[in-house]
Amino acid sequence: MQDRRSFLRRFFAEVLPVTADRELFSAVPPVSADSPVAEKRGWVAGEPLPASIMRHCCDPSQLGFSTTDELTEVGSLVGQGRAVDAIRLGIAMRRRGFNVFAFGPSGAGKHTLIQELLERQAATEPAPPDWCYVNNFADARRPRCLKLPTGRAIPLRDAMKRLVADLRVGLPAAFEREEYRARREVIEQQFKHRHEEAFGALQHKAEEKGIGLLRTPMGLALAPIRNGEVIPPDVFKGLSAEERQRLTADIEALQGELEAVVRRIPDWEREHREAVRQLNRDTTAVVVGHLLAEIRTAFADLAEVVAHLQEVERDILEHADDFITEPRPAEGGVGASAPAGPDGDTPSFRRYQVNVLVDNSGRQGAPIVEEDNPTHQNLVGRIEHLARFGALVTDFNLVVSGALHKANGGYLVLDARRLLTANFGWESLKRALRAEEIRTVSLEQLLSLASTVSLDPEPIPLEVKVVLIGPPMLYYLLSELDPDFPELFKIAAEFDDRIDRSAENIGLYAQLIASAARREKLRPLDRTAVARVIEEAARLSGDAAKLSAQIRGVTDLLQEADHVAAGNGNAAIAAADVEAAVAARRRRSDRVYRRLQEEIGRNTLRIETEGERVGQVNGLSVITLGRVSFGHPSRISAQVRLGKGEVIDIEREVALGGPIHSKGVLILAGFLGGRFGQRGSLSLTASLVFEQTYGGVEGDSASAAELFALLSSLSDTPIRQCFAVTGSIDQFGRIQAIGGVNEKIEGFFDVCEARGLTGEQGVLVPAANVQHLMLRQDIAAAAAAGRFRVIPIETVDQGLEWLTGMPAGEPNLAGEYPNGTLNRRVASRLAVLAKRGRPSEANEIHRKHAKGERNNG
Amino acid sequence: MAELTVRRVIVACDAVCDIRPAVEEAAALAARWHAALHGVFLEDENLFRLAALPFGRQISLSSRGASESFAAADLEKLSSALGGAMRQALAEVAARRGLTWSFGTLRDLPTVSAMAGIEGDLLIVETAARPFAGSWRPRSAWDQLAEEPARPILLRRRGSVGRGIVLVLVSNGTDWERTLGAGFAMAGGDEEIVVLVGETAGVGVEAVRRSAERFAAAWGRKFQVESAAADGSALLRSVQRLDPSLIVMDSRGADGITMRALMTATRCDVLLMR
Repeated sequence: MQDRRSFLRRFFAEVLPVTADRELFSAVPPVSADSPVAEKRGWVAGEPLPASIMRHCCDPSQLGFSTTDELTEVGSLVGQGRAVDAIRLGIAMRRRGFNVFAFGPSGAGKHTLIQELLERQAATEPAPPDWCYVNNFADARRPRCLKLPTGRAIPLRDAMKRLVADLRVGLPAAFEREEYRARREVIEQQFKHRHEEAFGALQHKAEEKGIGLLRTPMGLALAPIRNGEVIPPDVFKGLSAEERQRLTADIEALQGELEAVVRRIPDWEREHREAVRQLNRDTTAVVVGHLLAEIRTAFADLAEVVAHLQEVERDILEHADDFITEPRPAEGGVGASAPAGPDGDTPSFRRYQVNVLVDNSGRQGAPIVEEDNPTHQNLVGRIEHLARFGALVTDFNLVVSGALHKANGGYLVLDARRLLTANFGWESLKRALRAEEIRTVSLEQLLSLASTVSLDPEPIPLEVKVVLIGPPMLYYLLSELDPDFPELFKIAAEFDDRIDRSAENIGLYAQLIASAARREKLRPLDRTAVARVIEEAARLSGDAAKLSAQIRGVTDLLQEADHVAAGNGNAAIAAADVEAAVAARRRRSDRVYRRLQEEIGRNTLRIETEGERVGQVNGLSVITLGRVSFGHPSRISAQVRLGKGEVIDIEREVALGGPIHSKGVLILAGFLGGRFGQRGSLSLTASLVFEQTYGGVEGDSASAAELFALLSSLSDTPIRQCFAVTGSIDQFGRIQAIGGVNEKIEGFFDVCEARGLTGEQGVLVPAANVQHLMLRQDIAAAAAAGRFRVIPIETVDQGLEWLTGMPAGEPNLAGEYPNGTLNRRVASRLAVLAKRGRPSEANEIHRKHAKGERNNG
Repeated sequence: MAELTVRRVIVACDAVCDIRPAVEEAAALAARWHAALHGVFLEDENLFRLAALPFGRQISLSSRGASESFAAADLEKLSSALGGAMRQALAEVAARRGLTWSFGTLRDLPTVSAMAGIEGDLLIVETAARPFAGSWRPRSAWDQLAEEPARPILLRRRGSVGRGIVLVLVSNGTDWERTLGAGFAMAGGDEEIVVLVGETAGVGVEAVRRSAERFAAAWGRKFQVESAAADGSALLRSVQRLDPSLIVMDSRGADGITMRALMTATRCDVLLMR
């Protein structure tokens, strides 16, 4: 639980930009209207903003070119110095675990930038070696890997292919030669002679004694013979006792000799087989030695290959029969389980082939591999099978390389999200990086789901730099939850979603726009268009002082503007084309927004933009639907009654309020207590609600508005409904920055404009948000014409004065507020409530009230 | 032209024959000649006598050289089983080829031999017993028939499939042309027939050539005739040089070589004798 909390703390501290804004705000001291700072920045808190501040326009005349055709190319490195430095370090560090996790918002050009950096680095590095799998003649289940210098694998594979082809012709020819036949005949004759000599001698000896050697269905037998036939039993019985005894003795003696001869037969057969084998071996050796000599010479510098060729030669000599007779599977070897290959090679010959796993011939520099589907198999390779006689069989030739093999000696780029969702991809990658070797093993074997015999190829040493690309959340989650992650990915390359809108960066951004236009084959942009795109980039960043680093969004805008320009017949994209593209984009996705605006116009959703109301203020929220965000005014109301000093958040009570919203309300209560509860307890109960909201409410950006509604209700002072308010508060009554300020202002402006701009209407925003303003041009124009106002406020009191038209009032040394001020009204009402809250006072009041009623009555 | 008329092909086997190949080959010839197929299983009388003797024992490789009993009852059972197997093989092969077939068991070799003398019958026997320990082959009952060139007998080389050399032994009689015709019918598959004519006392090479021309025309076969010297070694050299499909020689054999030696040396598939 502690770990989880610490993770969340860090996550919010590092990810949420709002927090950073708040810190920034806290560091900004109040600025008075006549101060040099105010003069420099051009606005004063508590006063309506000049139109020029509402939209930080980009002046085309400052850009210094006519169209983007004049601009040179620029890479994707603009404004991402931190990430670039990290990636450069990561790819330069050739140490274990210094892999890179690049994270940042989508569309920030991470892939492009990483590709650029890797290509630059890879070009300076040598091409890695080739890798092959060959048969392991000692244990066919464990194919051996061969590391060959770049470009040597294919020649070896071809040479071995030629060797087999030559052997298939050359060996049968050698065995057909007269010399072989003669030598074989000699062996056969020797064998036969040996038999005939032994059995013939025995037969001759038996015949001399009147005994014949007969062939029985199972073997041999000795029997007394007369006239070429075995003596009938009755005749035998008729022989004299001496004759019968002699025959019996002779047969027994001969039987003993026959047994001795038969017992020697297995030895003779073994000797015969060995003699034939040796002859075959000698005959084969001549042919194989000759054919292998050429390969040995070509690969003499590679000890591993030479050793393998030695084993190949030994195996061919052992299995020469495969070449001279119909090939059959070799016992216990590859042939025993190997399939006939797709090229028709029979199993027994496949064991001499070379399976080129990685061929880097012709490659310049180190490889950069991007695997789109990083499953276990696609990373570490797979062992394929072929159907043979109804069974699935495999051999080393069916080991297929994975992305790690291809990237070995170079760089592997993976999408982290896909890696984590792919089938065992993440675990397999970690295993490979930890062990620094690629072990190709099937998923069934890995999970111990299969008990069948399969291959266990020798692992290949791995030297690869992995670059993962993903969203920040994945980086933080992995850091927190996977103990392997920090060990294996020591370099975090964090991409910013925005860059400073400095003069230098504006120039680079223009080049970036020019590069994107060229890359996408778009029309050039004239400088007005570039200026408009830069403004939109600031708008996309949500900060007038920044530019969006999400290049994909900008590129999309360029493509849409190009389409508009084409429709307008423009040779170059102009600002009007960009503006039209922006408007069209907005229109495409504003159905819900327009519907809400319509309902406000029809008073279905009640938003008042004129008049005054007690305990009611226009708050502003941002609704995000997919990739679209828009501002939406909401009526916030407060009611106060006698109570125990609690502020009830109705949203929270009905579980529609999020924790941050509840936190805002509690801060509000803290402010009340701090300002008005110093002399006694607050005897009130206040309830706050977002009227007509039917979904959840989250965030604290309405806490200022809620406070204003509450103070209005407490002081019974009406709030001018021509204003909307956004901003969060702290316990000291300071207004803090919020997000989505532009959308919120625009949301209220649209409501006012639909009803008619009066010049009174406006939005109170945190002063800290002024720097973020990048409002629509029509709003800036309305402000310039005095028809709409945006008023930055730094304190609650500034807001109260604008909303009520009353001075807020400063307390004197005794802590009392002057008469005629809003704070005085609040304090007085609280005092009344406090009095009513005391039991004796309450009874007195009740008594007087009852009496009065009687008098009235 | 004399024609070979075969009404019945008789295939004879005993307990030391390879029964199935013998039956297959006989059936093939019977089908070629549209003849009936008759199988004879010979129970070797000598073995039954041996089994009845008090010292009747046999030695086999499976007994690792130790002698084991050779009882009459065991021999009866074995003979019965092998006879049944032959009958079964005949039935299967005949059914496949659509032949008329019959089967009988005999214990009397002369009775089997006598079948060769029946007009229209062709007796097929294996030339040698199954060898012991791979190469040594004692004399078999069939050797006796092979040495009696008085009747038309087809001696089948053990392990053949009927596609090797056909050796025809002729003598100066009226039936030698019929025998040669049968040889033509069997020899050489569909390829050109190379006829090697050795010493044929009383017949002559030219007579053989003329007959061969007629048979070749009748069977629609190409052929060539070569003559060989009289002595056995010269004949063997000619066989090796020409690789003939049909050898014609005198039934008395050639000088310096026995008929059995010639069969072994030339790896004849079939010996047809008259």
